[in-house]
Amino acid sequence: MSTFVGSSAHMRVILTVLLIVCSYFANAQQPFVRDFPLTETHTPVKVNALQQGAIGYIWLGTDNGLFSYNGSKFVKIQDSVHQPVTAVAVAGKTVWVGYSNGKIGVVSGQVVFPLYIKNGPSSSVTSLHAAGKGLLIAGTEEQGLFVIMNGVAMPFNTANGLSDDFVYDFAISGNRLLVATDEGINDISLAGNRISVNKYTTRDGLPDNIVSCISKIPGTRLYLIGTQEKGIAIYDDEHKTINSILDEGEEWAYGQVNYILPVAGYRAWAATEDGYLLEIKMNNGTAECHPVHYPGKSLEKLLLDRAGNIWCGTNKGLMMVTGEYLRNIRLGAPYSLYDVTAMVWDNNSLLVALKKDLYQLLFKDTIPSMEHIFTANANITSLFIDKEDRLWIGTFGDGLYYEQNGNTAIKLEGIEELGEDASVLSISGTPNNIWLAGLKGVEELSYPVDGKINLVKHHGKKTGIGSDYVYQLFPDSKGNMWMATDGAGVCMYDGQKYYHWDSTFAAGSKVVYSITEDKAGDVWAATMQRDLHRYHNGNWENLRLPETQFPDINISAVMANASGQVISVYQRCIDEWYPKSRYFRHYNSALGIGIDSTSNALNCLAKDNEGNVYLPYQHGIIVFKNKTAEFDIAPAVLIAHPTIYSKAVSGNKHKFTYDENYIGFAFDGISYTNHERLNYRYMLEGYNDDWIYTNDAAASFPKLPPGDYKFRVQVALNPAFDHPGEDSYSFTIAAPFWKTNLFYVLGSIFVFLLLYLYIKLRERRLKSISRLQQERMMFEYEHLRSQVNPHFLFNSLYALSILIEEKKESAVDYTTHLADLYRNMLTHSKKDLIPLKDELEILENYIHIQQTRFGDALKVKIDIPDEVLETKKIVPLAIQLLVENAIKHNVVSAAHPLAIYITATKHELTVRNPIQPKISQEKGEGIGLVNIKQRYALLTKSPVSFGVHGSQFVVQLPLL
Amino acid sequence: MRQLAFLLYMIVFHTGFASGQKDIYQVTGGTIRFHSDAPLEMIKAASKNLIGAVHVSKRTFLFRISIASFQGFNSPRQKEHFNENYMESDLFPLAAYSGKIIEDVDFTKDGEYNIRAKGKLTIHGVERQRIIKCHIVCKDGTISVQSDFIVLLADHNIKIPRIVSDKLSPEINVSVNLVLVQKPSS
Repeated sequence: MSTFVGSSAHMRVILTVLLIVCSYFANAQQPFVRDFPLTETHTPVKVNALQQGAIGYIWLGTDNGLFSYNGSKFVKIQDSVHQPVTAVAVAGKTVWVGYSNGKIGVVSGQVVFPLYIKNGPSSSVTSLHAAGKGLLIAGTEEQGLFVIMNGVAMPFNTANGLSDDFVYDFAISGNRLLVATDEGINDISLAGNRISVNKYTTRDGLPDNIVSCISKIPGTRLYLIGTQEKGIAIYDDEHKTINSILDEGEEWAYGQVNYILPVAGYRAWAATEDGYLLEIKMNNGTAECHPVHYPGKSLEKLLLDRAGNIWCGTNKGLMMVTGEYLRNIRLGAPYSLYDVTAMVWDNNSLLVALKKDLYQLLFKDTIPSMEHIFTANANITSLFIDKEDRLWIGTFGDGLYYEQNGNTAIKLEGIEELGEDASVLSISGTPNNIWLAGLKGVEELSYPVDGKINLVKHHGKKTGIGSDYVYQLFPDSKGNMWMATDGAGVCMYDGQKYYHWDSTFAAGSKVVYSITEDKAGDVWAATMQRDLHRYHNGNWENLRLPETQFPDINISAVMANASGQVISVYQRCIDEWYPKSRYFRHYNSALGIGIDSTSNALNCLAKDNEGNVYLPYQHGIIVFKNKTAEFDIAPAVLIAHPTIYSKAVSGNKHKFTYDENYIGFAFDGISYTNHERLNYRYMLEGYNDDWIYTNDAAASFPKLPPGDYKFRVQVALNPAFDHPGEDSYSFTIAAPFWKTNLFYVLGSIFVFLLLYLYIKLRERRLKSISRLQQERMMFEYEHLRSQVNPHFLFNSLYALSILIEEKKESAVDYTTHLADLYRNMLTHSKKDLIPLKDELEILENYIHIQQTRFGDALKVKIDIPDEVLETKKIVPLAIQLLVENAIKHNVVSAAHPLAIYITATKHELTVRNPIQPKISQEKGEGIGLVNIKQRYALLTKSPVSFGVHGSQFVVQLPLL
Repeated sequence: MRQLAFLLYMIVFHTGFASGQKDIYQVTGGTIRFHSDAPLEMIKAASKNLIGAVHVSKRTFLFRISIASFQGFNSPRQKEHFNENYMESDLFPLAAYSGKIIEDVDFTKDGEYNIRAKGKLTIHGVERQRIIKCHIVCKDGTISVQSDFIVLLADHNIKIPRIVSDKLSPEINVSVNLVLVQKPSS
């Protein structure tokens, strides 16, 4: 193969030291976590590898083998290796598995099939990557790298220039491989046919020679490097620099870095051996690092699923981390934020009102401190920070206070419409004016100028709002002021006119608690009777109804963040709308992340300058993060292999025979947000075109007739199947063979052949019959011709004349015989066969006539047993013809008398005569014998034989 | 002694014949102690029967100790339990640690170094890849090594009967002191 060019650190890398800039504020925001312990007989199972496949399953390589996870349950994938799975690679629908004994397997159905790999590894596989086109790269603990293709492994280790054979991890970029080893990083590049290795160690600025993991930041030429004892460094491939995020001389306190997961926005999450999960924010030459400790756990691998969950494989199982979408600011005892009555964001702190007391939450430490800053005479119901950073405090029954000169709260007095004991439910501001809402309508006031505040305009039931009770004021991005009223629905004031949506709009509710505007500019309203509504293109619609079926009357607030999500707060749950997926992410106590109850005071949400939304709850504050990436929470569904008569068949099989018609399907829904809310429905196209709704993730169809089918299954987070996920499986059940076209064609050909054969046979039979007839006619003709042969007639008549002269009495007899002869010949010559007796009668007549002519010179001796005479048949006139032939061809005279012998056995008749040839041979049309032979051939297979035997001419005819 | 000879042979074999014996340092004195702090009982024992060697230029090492050689238990009964119930020293008579030294340290120079040893730690027949930090002092051709580390019983498939879980900690603290000297050329 190619040549290796080992170059030990040709490229010296400049070491740049970066400081960790710790943001303590961000430190206070911790992700929620949920543990999914994997146990085997009460012993925790360690997760070594994590991957998410294209279809959606999360694959876990553990000490107890491979598992798949669909968001609800772990399914063990059976294997025959029985070793810990230490690496998993996913390429398309193929899942590869590396084991601690060096074996590599591939998942098919619910089984891992071990692969036989020639020269394959025998040491634990630490990392596995499917590089496409069937190419697999494996890193091992003691044997370096292996490049595997077509069942053959090519090793790449210290013998080839690798600095150490212990490979922890590697990153792939084009034709390059960055390998993390015990002796630093090996940058292996393939150029043409040459492989060159560049090594980076501590001499080149690497903080630690043991590089335990390496990850590429997508879309950049930066690599994040985790080390054994010197933390994290960033390798810049473009400028060939390595930057440690540790200060020089600073100790890394978090343990060996096992995995680094880069995420959107130049951030990354790192998992360490000592149980620390660190969020790293990189920013133009600086990096921030925010650790969270999970004592007792060793964190092994991280994975970001497409719904935004971070999954962390630990030595005790799987941990779900919400850090990319939901955070938690936890407060220590004795504070409980369940009773928060109002909240507002104020310059990197939160102002929180607990009944009459106002606190400032400062995020200095992991546990934020709460500083008491103000006490009102009544419950604080609303807070507002205006454009000049002035705090406004509204109370229930004690009017309005506002901040003056930084730290004094002044009670607003002198506004008649407001009154000193006013209740202020909502405070808001436009560029020019400050707006107050309460139980007596809405007051539009001027900002304080020289300590004076004037009423600009009073809005109320009479001016056009329709109600004096206004729960919330919301200025939208277009300059309109929206009002959530009790009694008049949603009201909008554009500076001139009031617009109303109450019972006439789809929400149909006159009581509206809360209003917000999302990123797309649509307004959302939280209503009492009709739940959550969105105003989109001039229409109000309830997007939540398809999911819940019934409106939830206990909605208390709605607020949108800056990345398009809309958060609505209910007594029992919190829903977060994901506009791209068109689904709600649903949070409740069953989610298992510790959100049990929230404040049910109306409109108790706050938004920071970046648009993140804050909600108080029992243990602190929930932060709904702006999403840095487009997460998709839509569920997916997957059809497992079909079953035929409950026996699994390969999913690649799509054609079945006519009797393989009891087909079943199991399917599996995948959701990493709310698996418990999945709804399924399925349809078998070609069989029934109605959706069948089910909770059972299986369907079966007995006795399917032959045809083409498509099994479709859909999954959705709502029972209305708005935007479902779908999978389908097409298959064909073949018609039985006697209904196939081929069968019809073959059958027709067969029938045609039969008919043809029949016709042919019949034709042959008819032909033979006609030939027989023809032969017979020929014979008859020949015979008659011979009988009316003038010679015979002359001889007969001459003999008769002599008889008349000499023996008159004999003449009569002679004439009778002659007449008999002709009559018999005419009678019998038309038949195929006649009894032997009849034939002999003809012969007798003939002999009588001939003996009259020849006298004693002709002797015919007939010796036929009686039983043969009675039972057997013969071709008519055959013997007569033979006798005639004998007389015709031989000398018959007194000197040479001719003796003809006719004998018979059961099966044949023999005519013999001695050969006494005439000198002048009569024209022997030879036709006689041939004719007999042919006539017999048509009747029987027994042969007619004739020929010379010694001095005799012998003819043998079969008797029938 | 036969064992040691085999060991040295192995090291020389592994590291190549070319490198001379001067690169091999062998253990002349070493002590391994361990203690387990459980709520109800503290177990401690020590052994001086450590054998092993370091190849200083190849930076490889191999150490081995006989389990049965540990002495100093609280009672003979405790020792019996240790050997029979937990360590099964009949089946697995030796514990071993072999591997490589990560830091590129010149052991022939006098000085103090903190290094990491990486290799396979075999206890109770179960191999584990471990990185163990060591403090070494090189002086006048001798290398003194000091190291403390923790062994998790679960890592080595050492089962604690539930009834004595209060008497045995799942974490065992191990401390090693040893002196290596250059192998005299023979």
